[in-house]
Amino acid sequence: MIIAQHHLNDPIPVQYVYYINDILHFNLGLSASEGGRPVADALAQYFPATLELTIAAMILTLLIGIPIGILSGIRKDRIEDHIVRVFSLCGVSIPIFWFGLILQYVFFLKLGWLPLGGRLPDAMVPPPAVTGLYTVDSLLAGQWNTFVQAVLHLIMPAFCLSFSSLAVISRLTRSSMLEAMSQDFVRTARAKGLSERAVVLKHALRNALIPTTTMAGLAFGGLLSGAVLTETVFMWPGIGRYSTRAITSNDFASIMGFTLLVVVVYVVMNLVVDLLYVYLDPRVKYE
Amino acid sequence: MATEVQDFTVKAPPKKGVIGDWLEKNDSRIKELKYSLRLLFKSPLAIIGLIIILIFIFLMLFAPYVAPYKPEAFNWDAMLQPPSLQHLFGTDQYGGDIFSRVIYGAQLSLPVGFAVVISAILIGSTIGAISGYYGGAIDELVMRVTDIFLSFPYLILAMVVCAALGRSLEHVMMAMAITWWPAYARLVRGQALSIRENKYIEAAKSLGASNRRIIFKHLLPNCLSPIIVQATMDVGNAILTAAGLSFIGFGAAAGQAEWGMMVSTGQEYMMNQWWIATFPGLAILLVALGFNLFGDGLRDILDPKLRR
Repeated sequence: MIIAQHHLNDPIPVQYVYYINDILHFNLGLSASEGGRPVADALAQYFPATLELTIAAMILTLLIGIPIGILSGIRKDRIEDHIVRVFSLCGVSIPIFWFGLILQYVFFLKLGWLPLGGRLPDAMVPPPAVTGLYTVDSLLAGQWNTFVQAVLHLIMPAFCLSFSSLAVISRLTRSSMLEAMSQDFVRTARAKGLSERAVVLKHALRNALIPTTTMAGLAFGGLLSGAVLTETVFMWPGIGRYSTRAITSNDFASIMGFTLLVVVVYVVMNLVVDLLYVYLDPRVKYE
Repeated sequence: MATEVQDFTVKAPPKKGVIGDWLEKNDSRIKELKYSLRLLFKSPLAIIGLIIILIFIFLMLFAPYVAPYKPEAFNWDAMLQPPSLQHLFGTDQYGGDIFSRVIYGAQLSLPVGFAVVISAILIGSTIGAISGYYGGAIDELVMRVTDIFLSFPYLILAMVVCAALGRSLEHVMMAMAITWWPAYARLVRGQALSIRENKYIEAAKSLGASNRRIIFKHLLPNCLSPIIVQATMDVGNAILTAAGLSFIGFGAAAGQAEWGMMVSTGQEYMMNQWWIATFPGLAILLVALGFNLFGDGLRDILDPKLRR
């Protein structure tokens, strides 16, 4: 019965056609590690959590990474530059699962400022689901208290996750800033008597951001990888934790579904980056 | 008209022995190396990185002589002890000495890092060189394959491969080598595309050198410096990733003195016994930092564009 149900007697190419057909109907099979419910359901439940975490991490990366990159670019070979350089090397070298534990130890146990893990306190009811992102949902429902809690729970895992891509982004912003600052148009802008602030922010930065955007798109893949580790440490109910559970219990339908989702997200992110180019650099117009 | 008779007799080169010959033949390379070394010693960060790497390689080779205890020597009288003079980094839940276990951990993590990167280089650079040198349909095919590999976040691909192969450190290495080679294929292919257009390749071709000879004798040696830089930094990344995989439960068996595994066990005890997870994690950080610092310094030296 099972053999017939899964078309296991058919030739492999035919099985593949069945598989593709199922994917087109969002039927990813049944998840053994989730008590036999459809994989698509499980993914739909867990994905918003990961999305929220990754987006928060991405925002932190850009908010911190670009300014310190600019700083180190315009103060090349000074003390600020060296500090940023060592910082970013530490960022790519730190094992994020360990960093997460250290953050928990300091901010939860010693200082007591931030919650240990999870998305909300156990006693709190999640806001009515609209997008699945607790921060957005609680705002939509006007639940301020929930919003504050959701943000508090988000800070530590997001910072932990952003740390490694922070390094990459600041590094790249620095080198493209250096390149942009040595261009003729920067000299022209200075010759016109513009303030240094305007030269850096309006003229150099705009051009320096182009490679940074590409990297940010690629870093998104890194964030998804990192999310697997971060979610494990912070008990974050996202697809990362779901996938490790699935892998350790040989739940292949879930593994396939998870991998497919990650790749789709990654490809879509790269597409978004390509489209952003047109805005950032009007010289790029795809024919 | 009397033509001047040219003197074709060439002065026989003075005999210098094997070493002398070699020195003369590689004169330019030696000068280059000396120059690079001088630059290297001017960069304090790269030297710090090198020292860290050397220390860990030393620990890896001489772990039994350095470590005060055996990694699996459990002492039931001294469980969960905080750091003290007897146990520098404290003890874990079985009374194993964490200092010794961290030292022995180098014997597992470093070889994993080296093995992954070396196999990735061997596979990746060969495929990349062939793809870049021949171009055309082969290039198209290889690049699309690497596209597919690169469209997976690498930790996730390694996880999936590990899941299919089963839990062991060897499988982690295999999974990582499989996920790592496309980066090198890309790198070498890019280099090969520009090197291919050089005159010396044309010269070698006109002398009748076979394609294989050109690829291995002329093309690959000229791709070496970006590969070395990338590889140095990648050893650190590979160690990080392997530790991450062990942390979520692939790779090292429970109780093995592997850094990621030790952090993972220490996680449960983090609230009261912080030292169990902290020190192995610190070791991972230091090793990765060492390789990254050194690789970063090497890039400044080997990349002619950054040189002055």
